[in-house]
Amino acid sequence: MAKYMIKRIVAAIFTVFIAATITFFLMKLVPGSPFTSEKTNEIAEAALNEKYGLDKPIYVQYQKYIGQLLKGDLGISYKLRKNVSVARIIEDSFPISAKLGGFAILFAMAFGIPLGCIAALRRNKWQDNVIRVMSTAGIAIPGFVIATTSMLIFALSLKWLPTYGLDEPASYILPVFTLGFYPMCYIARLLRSSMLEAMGQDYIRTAKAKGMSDFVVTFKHAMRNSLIPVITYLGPLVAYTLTGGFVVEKVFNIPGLGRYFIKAIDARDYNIIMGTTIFLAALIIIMNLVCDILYKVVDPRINLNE
Amino acid sequence: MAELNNKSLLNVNDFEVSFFTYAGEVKAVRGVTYELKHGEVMGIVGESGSGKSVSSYGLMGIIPDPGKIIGGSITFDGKDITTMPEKEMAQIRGKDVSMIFQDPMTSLNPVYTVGNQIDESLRKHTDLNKQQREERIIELFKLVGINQPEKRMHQYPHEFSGGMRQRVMIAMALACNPKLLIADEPTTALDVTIQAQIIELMKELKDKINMSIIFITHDLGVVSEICDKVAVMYAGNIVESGSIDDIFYDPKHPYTWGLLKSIPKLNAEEHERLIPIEGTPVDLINPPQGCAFAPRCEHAMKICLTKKPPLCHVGENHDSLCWLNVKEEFDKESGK
Repeated sequence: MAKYMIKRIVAAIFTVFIAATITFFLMKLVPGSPFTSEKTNEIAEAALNEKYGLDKPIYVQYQKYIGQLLKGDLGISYKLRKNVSVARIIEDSFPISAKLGGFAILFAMAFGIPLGCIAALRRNKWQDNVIRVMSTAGIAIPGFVIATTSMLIFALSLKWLPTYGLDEPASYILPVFTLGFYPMCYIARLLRSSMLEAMGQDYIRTAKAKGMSDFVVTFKHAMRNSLIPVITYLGPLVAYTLTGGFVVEKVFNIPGLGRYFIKAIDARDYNIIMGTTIFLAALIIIMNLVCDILYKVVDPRINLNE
Repeated sequence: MAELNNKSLLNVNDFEVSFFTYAGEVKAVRGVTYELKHGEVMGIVGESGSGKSVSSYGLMGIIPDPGKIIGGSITFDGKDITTMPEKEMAQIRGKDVSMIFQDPMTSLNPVYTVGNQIDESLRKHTDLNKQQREERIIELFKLVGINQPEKRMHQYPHEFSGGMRQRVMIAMALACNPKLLIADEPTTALDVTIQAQIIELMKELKDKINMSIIFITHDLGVVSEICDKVAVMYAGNIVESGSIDDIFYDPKHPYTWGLLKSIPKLNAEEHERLIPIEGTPVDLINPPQGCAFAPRCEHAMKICLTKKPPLCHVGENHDSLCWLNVKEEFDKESGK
């Protein structure tokens, strides 16, 4: 186990490095600079570029950035929050996104798993049809439609819930629903198909032949065997959801990390682009590692050392 | 006769099962009747799709969807189990009737230890406490020949070989001292030497434990080794039933003749070929009007194609479902 972990961590560092490199060069390929705007003139822009070292050749900038990164320094924001360190920005906004995302994941699992179970157990009956239509629709409808529609209905027409911010507990409901609806539908579909597969296995027949109740057959024998695809999906999902959804944060005006992903690219705020990307990459890698360990917990046949 | 009935454990009467598929109603079991006494071992033989497994799933009440029992009755230990509520049936299933399956590689749940899977059955059907249950599992493992039971019971199915897994399955089936054990092709998925070991084990167990066994197989050799009587199934019917001697030395049904001819013999000459039964099994969505075997039968007469044959008692406890037997009887009488 320890050997396996060390191997994985070394591989993870390497992966983050590759991701950082690719992002760095792609980012520099995009024309423009953080200081290009109608208000600044060319002389001022050149001076600013020089101040932050953006006038140097790309490989020099790359060398400098990686050097900083190895020391754990993510640099400072050029534009969005001028001269504030990127680490500080992540520190400020990530907890907000993570809290929202955490609730969304809980919501997705708390409803997605039972819905998937019900659909599988009531295959081709009306319950299954309703869940299937809903989950297919949930996957097909884009987040901004769900966000704005739910806001229109529950916040503006019915006035049950606040429209923006996270000031009171009730304000979490709409953003969490919007953020968690897609994964909930996805989990329901995933679990339905893997449950159906598991329910057709010979060991289910064995369990029935032992006189086990439907409850034990379903939740002890079928469920654990059908969780693997769900865990596979949950890894990246957790990483993406915790770092915040851009649409949700934009629509509900939540000061989370999610909006920086897009805003930073718009503003060519290089250090924020790099910082958020590396942060997300690291989180995804960590979650995948957690998933691999969870596989082992769920399925004893999986041997991590091979 | 009344005395015999008292001793019988299982009475299956005109039992019928159909599968309601998109293509139509598949009549998998079309009126099966047999009796099994305490401690008796019955073999059910027949080719794939003859209804031998489905009829035994009926005994357990675990006919897979979209199958339904559409007629007949099964009396087990004095109670009709076809009309029994599911709750009561769950008490019998795994306790009084238990089952071992064809493929031990897939019949155990891969994510739980084998001990846990046997314990589950004991927990449901007995009042033993945790320690007693553990002792029982160790005792069962010793009974079926698994070494180091204390260690093995905490292992997962993937740590066992195919033969060992089948031993685990047998231990699981025997856990609650069943009155009836249904063995559904228990050796089909195993290689030959392991097959021999499992058969040897079943023979031993049969002598040690007084239980009735239904042994489903398409291996007539296995049947001759451990069964007291045999039922030959074709297209959802028992076409011939009788003692081992009746079936092997005095078969009366053309299908049984065909089966016996298609067994390889040890003393066969090199150039001798096996004789297969020509043709293909019948379509059970539209079973033929007359005898189901008639289209493949080289002795078929006109009547075979139009009318179902009656069950003929061709000897003591020896029945055959064939018009030839009627004809024989008739010839004998008119010859007099």
